[in-house]
Amino acid sequence: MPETAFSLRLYRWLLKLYPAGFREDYAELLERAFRDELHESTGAAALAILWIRLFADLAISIPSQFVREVTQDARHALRLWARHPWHTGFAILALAIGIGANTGVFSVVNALLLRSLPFRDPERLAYLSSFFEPHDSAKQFHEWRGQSAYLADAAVFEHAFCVVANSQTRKHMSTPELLSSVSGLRVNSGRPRMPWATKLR
Amino acid sequence: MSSKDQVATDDLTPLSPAVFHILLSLGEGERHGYALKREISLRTGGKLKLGPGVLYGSINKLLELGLIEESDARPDPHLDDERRRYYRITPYGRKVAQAEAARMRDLVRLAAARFGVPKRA
Repeated sequence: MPETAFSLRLYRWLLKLYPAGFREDYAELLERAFRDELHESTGAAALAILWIRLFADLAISIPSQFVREVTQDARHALRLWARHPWHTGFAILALAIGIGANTGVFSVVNALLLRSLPFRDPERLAYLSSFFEPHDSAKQFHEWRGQSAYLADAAVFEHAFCVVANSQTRKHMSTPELLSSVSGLRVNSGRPRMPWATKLR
Repeated sequence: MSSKDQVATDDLTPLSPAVFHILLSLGEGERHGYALKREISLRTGGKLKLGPGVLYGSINKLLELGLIEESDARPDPHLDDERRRYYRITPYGRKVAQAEAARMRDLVRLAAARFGVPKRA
């Protein structure tokens, strides 16, 4: 019967979902039990009921066999570790050093290369220099800013030097340095060292 | 499993219905998987129909715990396929089944004292 052959093929395929150890010992017996049940189920309705029951059976037994094998492996590993405490200690130490070193390297890479800037939509930020001087007056700059078709918004700063002082100290700072101290940006010679900084001319 | 590794009978109880029914059937004599399935279905009036996965999963667990073992004896060699595997209960398995039966008896006694026992369930 074509249904029987198809059912057998499907069941054999589903048996592959069991863990290998269980499958090795019981695949043949499971298939035999399935053949027995298939032999008893005559008619389309009986076959449909058989498959519903089989799917429920597989849904229960496959996860439970996996849990069983994992638990057994874990117990075996723990017993081995307890028998060889020095080896276990060295292995744990090597793992700890490896994980610590990886974490350290990742922290540096993350801080320098991966982490976004602390601004809204940092990937849309651009630094424009020396292509336009719309700041002869604030009015002129704001007109340019309002008419710009390719910038959502714009701000302008002037490169100048000023003196920051209190009663004890006196320090000369450029505008980019002031910006740096206020915003946290690392700026040098008026140009931020950022991957997003785009120079348009 | 050696007797040294065998856990206390009380630690294995309560047993799952499938496991207890398998031990009950094997208490009568050696059986193969399919005979166990049919017998359990008959005993429970079709309420407990073990699928192949649950049946052999339970058998695997019982073998590992040392409650049952494989048997070479073939009660009906002319009726059975040689590839069928027969199982029998071990003395340890019998003790665990007794412990489970005692646990159930105590539970039934408690339930009877609390609710009474109907003449027919």
